[in-house]
Amino acid sequence: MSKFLKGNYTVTENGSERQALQDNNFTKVFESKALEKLGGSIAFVVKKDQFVWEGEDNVQ
Amino acid sequence: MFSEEQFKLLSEATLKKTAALGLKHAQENLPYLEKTIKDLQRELQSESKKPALVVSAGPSLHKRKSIETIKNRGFEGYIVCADGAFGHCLRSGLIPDFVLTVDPDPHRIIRWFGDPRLAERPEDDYFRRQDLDPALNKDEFDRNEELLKLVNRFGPQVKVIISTSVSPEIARRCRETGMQLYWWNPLYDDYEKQDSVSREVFKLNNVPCMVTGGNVGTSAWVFAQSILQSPDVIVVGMDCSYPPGTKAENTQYYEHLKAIFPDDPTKGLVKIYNPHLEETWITDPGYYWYAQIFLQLVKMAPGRTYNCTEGGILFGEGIDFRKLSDVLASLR
Repeated sequence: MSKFLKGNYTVTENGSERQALQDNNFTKVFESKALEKLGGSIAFVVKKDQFVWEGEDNVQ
Repeated sequence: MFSEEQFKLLSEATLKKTAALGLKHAQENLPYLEKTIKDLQRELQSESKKPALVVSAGPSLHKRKSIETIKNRGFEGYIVCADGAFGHCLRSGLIPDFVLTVDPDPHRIIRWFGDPRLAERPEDDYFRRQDLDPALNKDEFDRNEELLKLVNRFGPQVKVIISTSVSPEIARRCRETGMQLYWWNPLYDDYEKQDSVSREVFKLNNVPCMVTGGNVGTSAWVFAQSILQSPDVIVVGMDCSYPPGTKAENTQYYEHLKAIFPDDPTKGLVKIYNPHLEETWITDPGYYWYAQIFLQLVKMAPGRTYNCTEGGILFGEGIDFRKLSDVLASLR
């Protein structure tokens, strides 16, 4: 029987992703697959406790 | 719960998703640029500072009938609303002073203003599934016609605080209705970095960059704090979560979570107990990220912040979690 089940190509697997899914490791899956789809409406960053930036020397 | 590292990655993913499109729209919006949020600040300089009420489009806005409370109790301050709450405000007879818009999505966002080209849009069930404005869940074309008329009628009384990242179709629609446009750039990234998108867009249009908070509701709150300089800022409809008992399939990212956790998509959701409400709400990574950002920003804010959503997970240091009617009475 085994001779009929012999594969004729090498399966490419994402080992870490599969392992993460098997382990229910949310962190690994979250990082590897979900982020781009779960992102926000617009980019966010905050710098030097400023709400508004108007060029080099004018901050608020 | 979610880690700092995950939030960093979420932030990077959002930058990747929105920066290129935002920059493209900033170029296309160049012909429409006239006034900016700094011009607005100058125009308001002679007026005394007033409190602001920021209307976001979370499910509690409808559940708690917040607009009805505002109308019944009265409010002598600025009404600032997120684009997703604009239709609900107008349908309920509340004309906001300002409406914020920032999301660069090329097809969806114009719907909040009434979409003159709705029939030509690609098939999209977003508005039938979303909980931001349940009125748009069915009879989409009829409700769009209604919104077109409402925005045409009341537009001249509203100032739109419009991000250069949005589709130029929105700029044209707002101008056609007679709204006054005040432009801003989203602060996309660290402007001191060599290849900063924020710096690039600022060089392109010389429009001030404002912190977004990752979503339009928080952008509206930032606007109230920084441009209006309101001493008291009330927020309603800022749930950052789903009400107790919400089924996983009714959450915004369900399809994505199902793809990640086919055996149990609820693994991507988190339950958070709100001690003010004595209720447990459900959140997902995106909404939880928004709440954490807000808690970070509230520490920088010059004005007080009252969360009068009466629902959700946005509570913590710097946020006065109160009943809307009580705060409206105390600010009189």
